[in-house]
Amino acid sequence: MAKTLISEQIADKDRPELSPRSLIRCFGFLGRYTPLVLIGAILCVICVWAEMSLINEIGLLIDRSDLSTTPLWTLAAPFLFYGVINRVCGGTQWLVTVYSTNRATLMLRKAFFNKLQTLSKAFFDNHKIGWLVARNSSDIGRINDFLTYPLMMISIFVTTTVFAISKIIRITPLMLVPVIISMPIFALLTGYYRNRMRRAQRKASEQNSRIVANISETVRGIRVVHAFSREDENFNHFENLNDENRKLNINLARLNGLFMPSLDFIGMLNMSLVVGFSFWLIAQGYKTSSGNPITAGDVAQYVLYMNAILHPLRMITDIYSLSISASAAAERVFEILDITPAIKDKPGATDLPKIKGEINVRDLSFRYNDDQPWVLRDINLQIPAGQTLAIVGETGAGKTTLASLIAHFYEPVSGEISVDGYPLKDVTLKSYHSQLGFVPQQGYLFTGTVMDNLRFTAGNMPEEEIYRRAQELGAHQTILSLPKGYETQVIEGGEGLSLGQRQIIAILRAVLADPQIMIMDEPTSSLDIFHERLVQQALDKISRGRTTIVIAHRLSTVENADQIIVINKHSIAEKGTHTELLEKKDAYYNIYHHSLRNPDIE
Amino acid sequence: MQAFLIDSVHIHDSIIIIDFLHMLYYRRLPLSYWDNIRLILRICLRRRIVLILVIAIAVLGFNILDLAMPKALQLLVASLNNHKLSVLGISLENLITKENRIIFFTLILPVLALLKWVVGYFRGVWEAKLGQGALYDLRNKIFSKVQSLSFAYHDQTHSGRFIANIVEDVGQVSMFFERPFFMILQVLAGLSCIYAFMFTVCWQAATVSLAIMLLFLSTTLLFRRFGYPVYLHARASLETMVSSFSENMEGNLLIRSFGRQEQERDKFADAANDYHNAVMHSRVLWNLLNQSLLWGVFLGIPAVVYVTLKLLQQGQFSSDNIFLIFMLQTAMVMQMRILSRTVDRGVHFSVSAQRLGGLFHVEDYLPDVSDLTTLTGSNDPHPSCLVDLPHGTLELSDVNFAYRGSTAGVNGISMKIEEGQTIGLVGETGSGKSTLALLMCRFYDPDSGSITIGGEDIRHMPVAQLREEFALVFQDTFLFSASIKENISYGKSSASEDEIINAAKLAKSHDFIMEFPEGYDTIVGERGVTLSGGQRQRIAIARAILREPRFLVLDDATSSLDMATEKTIEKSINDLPRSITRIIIAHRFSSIERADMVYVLSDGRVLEQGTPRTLNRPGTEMSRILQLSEDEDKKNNSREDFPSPECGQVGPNDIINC
Ligand SMILES: Nc1ncnc2c1ncn2[C@@H]1O[C@H](COP(=O)(O)OP(=O)(O)O)[C@@H](O)[C@H]1O
Ligand SMILES: Nc1ncnc2c1ncn2[C@@H]1O[C@H](COP(=O)(O)OP(=O)(O)O)[C@@H](O)[C@H]1O
Ligand SMILES: [Mg+2]
Ligand SMILES: [Mg+2]
Repeated sequence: MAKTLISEQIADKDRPELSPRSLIRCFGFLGRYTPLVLIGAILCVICVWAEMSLINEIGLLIDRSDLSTTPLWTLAAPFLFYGVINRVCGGTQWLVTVYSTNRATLMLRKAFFNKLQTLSKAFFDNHKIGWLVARNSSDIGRINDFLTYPLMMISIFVTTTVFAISKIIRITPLMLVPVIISMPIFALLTGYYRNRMRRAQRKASEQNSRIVANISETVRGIRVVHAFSREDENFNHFENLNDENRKLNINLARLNGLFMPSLDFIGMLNMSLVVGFSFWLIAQGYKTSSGNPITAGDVAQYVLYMNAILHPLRMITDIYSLSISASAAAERVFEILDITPAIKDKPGATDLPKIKGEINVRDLSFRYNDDQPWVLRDINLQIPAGQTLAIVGETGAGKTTLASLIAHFYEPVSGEISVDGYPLKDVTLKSYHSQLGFVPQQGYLFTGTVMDNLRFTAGNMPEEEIYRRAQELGAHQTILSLPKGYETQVIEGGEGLSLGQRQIIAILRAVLADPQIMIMDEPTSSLDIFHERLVQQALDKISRGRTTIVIAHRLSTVENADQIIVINKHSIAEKGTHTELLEKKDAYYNIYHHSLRNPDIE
Repeated sequence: MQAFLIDSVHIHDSIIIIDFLHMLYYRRLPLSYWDNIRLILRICLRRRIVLILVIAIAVLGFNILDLAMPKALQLLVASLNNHKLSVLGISLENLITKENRIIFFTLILPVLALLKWVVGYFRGVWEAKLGQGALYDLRNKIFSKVQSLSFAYHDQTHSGRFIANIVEDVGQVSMFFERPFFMILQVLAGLSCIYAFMFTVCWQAATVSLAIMLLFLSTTLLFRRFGYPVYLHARASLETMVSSFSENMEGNLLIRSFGRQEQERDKFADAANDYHNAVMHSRVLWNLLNQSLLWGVFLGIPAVVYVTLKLLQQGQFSSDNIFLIFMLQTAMVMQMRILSRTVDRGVHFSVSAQRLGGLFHVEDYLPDVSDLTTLTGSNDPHPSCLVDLPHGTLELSDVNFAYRGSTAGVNGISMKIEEGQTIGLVGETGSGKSTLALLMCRFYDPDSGSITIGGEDIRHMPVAQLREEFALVFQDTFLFSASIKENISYGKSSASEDEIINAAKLAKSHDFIMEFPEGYDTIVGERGVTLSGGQRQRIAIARAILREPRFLVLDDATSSLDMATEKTIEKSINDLPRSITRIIIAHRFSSIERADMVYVLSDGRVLEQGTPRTLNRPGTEMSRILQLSEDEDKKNNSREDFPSPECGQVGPNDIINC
């Protein structure tokens, strides 16, 4: 099982480590909240200014010679003043920023969801749901963090540095010398650390997603796990993954532990340089810029300012790592936002009017991917309005694929499908899909009651009418036999119902949509023979006046069709009515007669 | 502080420092609140007491070093102003003279920093060891918990949501242990050190500062009271938002084909709005906490300056000490920031701990005798191997079972299945066939009645060993994200390549597998290539065949197969060693015509039983099934010279005579 998890991060490896374009684009999502965010930044500047002013005040205070005579409140008042300003601005700024980014990401989240709604089935074939869920929860969360914090941090950084340096210059520009010396060391160290850290982080997060995937699969496949008593083996495997993860993360902490305090250390070295330098300056009798001798207050201020710069310097690494992770997240999200749906309404696509349901397939070829073999080649097919087409053929022959193409879930690689003479690629998807009823191979039900699922297509149809249709289909009895009848709760896909019950409900759901074209992929495969017959009879009735496409393996479903096609080796091997095909004594004939004879006496 | 930690007997209880201040309030919350937190802490911190102690010492050391820096700066200012130099009342006049002060002050800072680096490094690594160790244990615990919970439990949980929750909650808990857990220690230690220091320098200023601080610190007490429900709501709305999202993706095809995008869009928008509002709500609340803590510090600044200046004017104080007090007071800004962030994480943690605790409290296992032997103190590491599974008849006597929270299930089923027999189960959909199959493999226990093998109740056999004897093909196929090879050998990891290929051939999968460029190494499942429904079913059949079980249970295993393939596979199954007992659930007469015994189920009861032939009497359900199946066959044969179905189906086993 070791190599079994193709984690998404592998694809990420090719990404540039930091993409400024995506990051800038993130800010685009601030939209009408941009002024608020800017106000936040300004408040942040004021807040930092007040904090620095406090330092300034204490420096001034120490040096005052009239301390014992000045009224106390005049000495203490500036501290109160700056303290209050700092808090008022700080608190407001935080709220303003968090509020606007919260709203901005809400919009991004909705845009992301709405985009996904327009993407084709091919997209969902290639992007697993778990992966998409992670984009919605963690990536959008990272973008949110990016919008919230770095701007704040940069404001703090810039304000602090400008303020501190200007103050130091006012004391004496010479005092900047230690800063200039230590800056390159900082830069080098940060650069080195950044690279090592990034690699270690990537490894750790890959391992983490392996673990999540492993838990997730175990939960979803729990029946198989139990049935094949793999618990111990699975646990050992999981423990190994988990242990590896622990080691990687401790390693990460080692790196961090070496680096982060080393910044402090360099900072302190810098500070000692500052102190030594100050002594030296004093000893040399240097004057401040204003011409006075350097005092203890000056040195105290100097030291505090240097200290104040150090803290934001450390923030640079934070900004950097926030940007890295946001950049990767944004790339992934934007990649999806930027997809031109494989299937989308062409500019000038027309709404399909109420259709009769004539379907025409011309020279259709299809494969799922350019590097995969053809699934269908040169399919030609006409279904007159209101008629029934049955598709038969071995599993894996491409029946489902053909049905999905007709439903316009995929775009043909070549060839064309038209309905009532309108090529599908020229009509709006919605106008087509709203006249289509589709029963997928696996009867998927939504969480909710059975009735909720029926209402999905039935809308406000009166209950009596729903019951009547259900009766026609033989579904009414089945549903009533459930513990709570129509109000029985269904969870996730249909758990809690037998597979056949799910299928019946799925068929009923499609029928209630009253579509002009019905496409059913093995709709009765899990039904018992009685229900199958009931459903068939009902469908015979229902399909009158509708174009129906049905995939089936059982002859009884197929024989009444107006037209039957046999798909074999990626193309239509035979086409005709039941009688015609039997007379031909070829593929169709073989499938059924051959299979009904006992293989033992072959 | 230390008395707190050394008391290892009650360590779990006393370690709950994060909510230490909130202890007063917990009585108003459901009692299990603390039970859950205790449980999670126990799992995470057990066997790590030494580590915790070591870290606590490191944190303390770190704090002291942190405070050495303001002191050093105060000495610097004092020295420049030619004041007296002293540390905690000890005079430093001899140590630091006017001549060597330049060396002393340039060296003291790097030395302090170097010490801090060393202490910080070990502290970081140890903290990671603790956090990661906690995470490791927690995850292992959860994984085995999830694996051991009964089916009945899993039936009732929404697996997508379940997974998302586990991931989120485990993340929150481990995030808490990585840092914030010790941050609270750091803050407490830091504040104590700062105040201790301040008190030695100037008790008046310290008192004033502490009074103001405590006033604002009390907001943390209120915070959990008001914050907890808000955080809980935010967490719940995250869950709703994520599951609304994932269900939409899951049913995407249907939504599209029924043109329901708009309604879905509104539904998701509601969930997203709700979530973002809830988050904002919790942020606002937290900001109140953060703000009030910081106000406590910033209002303290003018107060201490005022007090110290007053003392100075009275001649009891020097200006460098004003500077020191100022530095100490501002050092608290950092501590308060950390404190509020810690409380934030702490409340997140307590919300997640509630949820995980809930999971751990679920005692929903299938009772297993091998656990019993372990519990009764057997020294054998593999007590389950002690019992040899008896051979003989699989007998169900008067089995009643209903799914939890439902009335559906099976009622009063009795049957006898001899070794090596082939049994057919037929019946309407929802009649209980799958349920019966699951009961035989003991996925559920009957509510009444018993299932025995060779006279021994299966409840008296170790579950793992019992299941070893069964191979099931479920009605809905699940494949793992692994290679085809690994999927087929899932039930028998020791299988050789040849065995795997042989099983695949029997299940008629070999050919299509070989068409993939990577053959048996092709990855399938969630993250692999997309197989058609019939292809998946065949791999599942191969997986079961490879296991060489005593009981092979096929639950409608060929529903997505075309008839030719179905026939071939039925033949392979028939050709498996005679000793295998086959239990076949099917809808068509042809699939069960070779059965030794057929049971027709209806509404959870056995309606009819007998050999396919004896059942074929007028008026029976079986004859109706046969009738319909025959109709199907007859249509094929009507204009052909094929033998009639009954005769055509004569095989070497001669179950049905013409
Ligand atoms: N989404 C997909 N991506 C890639 N290959 C696919 C996909 N779906 C099906 N296939 C492959 O296309 C072939 C035809 O599949 P399908 O149309 O599902 O067959 P069936 O006739 O059984 O319905 C199979 O070989 C299958 O593995
Ligand atoms: N996990 C479950 N929880 C509750 N009810 C269930 C569950 N699975 C099946 N049922 C109900 O039990 C009855 C028997 O189901 P099942 O054994 O799957 O029927 P089938 O004969 O079609 O295999 C049905 O009415 C079904 O709705
Ligand atoms: Mg198919
Ligand atoms: Mg079933």
